[in-house]
Amino acid sequence: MKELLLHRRINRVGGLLFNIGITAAALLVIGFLSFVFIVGIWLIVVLLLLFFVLITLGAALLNPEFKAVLDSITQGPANLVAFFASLFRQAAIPLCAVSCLFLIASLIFFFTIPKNSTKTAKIIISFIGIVASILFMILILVIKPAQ
Amino acid sequence: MNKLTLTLIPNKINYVFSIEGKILKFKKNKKGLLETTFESEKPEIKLDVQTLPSELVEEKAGLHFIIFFFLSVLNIFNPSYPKRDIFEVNYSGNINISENPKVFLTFIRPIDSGKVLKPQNENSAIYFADNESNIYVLNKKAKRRRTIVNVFKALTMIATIIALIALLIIGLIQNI
Repeated sequence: MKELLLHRRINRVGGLLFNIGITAAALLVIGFLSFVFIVGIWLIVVLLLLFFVLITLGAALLNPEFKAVLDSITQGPANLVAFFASLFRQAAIPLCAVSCLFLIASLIFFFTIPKNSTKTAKIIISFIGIVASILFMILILVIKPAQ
Repeated sequence: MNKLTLTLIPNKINYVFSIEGKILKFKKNKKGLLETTFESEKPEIKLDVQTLPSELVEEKAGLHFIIFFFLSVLNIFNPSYPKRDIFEVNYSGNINISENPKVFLTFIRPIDSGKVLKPQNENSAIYFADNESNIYVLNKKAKRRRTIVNVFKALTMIATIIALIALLIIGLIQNI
């Protein structure tokens, strides 16, 4: 019984590390996609902004300064390209380091516990995540953003 | 020597099968089912089935939760606490193994006071003792704590999303 409880705890630690690692890997992929498919990302960001502005900050729309910012955003994706480019270029290496370290740590934990319903899937996703993180970090640093 | 072959359909429940105090270890067979055998001189044996208590009510649960809360960045990256863990099982029943039976069981989806184990064929139903202990018991303490954890996690997620969007807006303002 104690062994099973220990395995469950190890599984939780592994799951926690996996979640952090895979989130960092996902951010790298999103970062790269924002370079290539910037128009799509631009639409999503504007929709998200509008949604949250309308829902939670509806009153802010009445503020002329905020309206000016929103107007400038909706002028086109050029500003966003530059913004995301600088953001993800700065964050690419730290994100890749976080992703790889956490996913490797999660793999170590997963290999120490017996098979369960999600173990195999998480191991496979961790390996894919590590490879994807390195690949997309290189791509972000090498490829110039779309204009 | 009398022999019992016990087969289970794989499931996510954290169960512990034991016979005469000895914990059974299941292995996957060629059909993908979990299987184990037990041999005994006795014609009748006592089968016990228990589930692990929820992580939210086990010993030092509060301390463990606080540690995971901070390690997982305010619970955001903490894997969820499964609903099935708030149900407890304490089954105990006798099985006659004088005819070397093959018992094929499956776990039913947990609901409060619902049946736990269901024989998968007529032969299994003959040997399996479906008594009053074959029910799920809802651990109210675990349910309450799980609800609090889930509500808190949802609020943290919403706060994080709003904070990220605010940061994005600030970043855009500075960039424009």
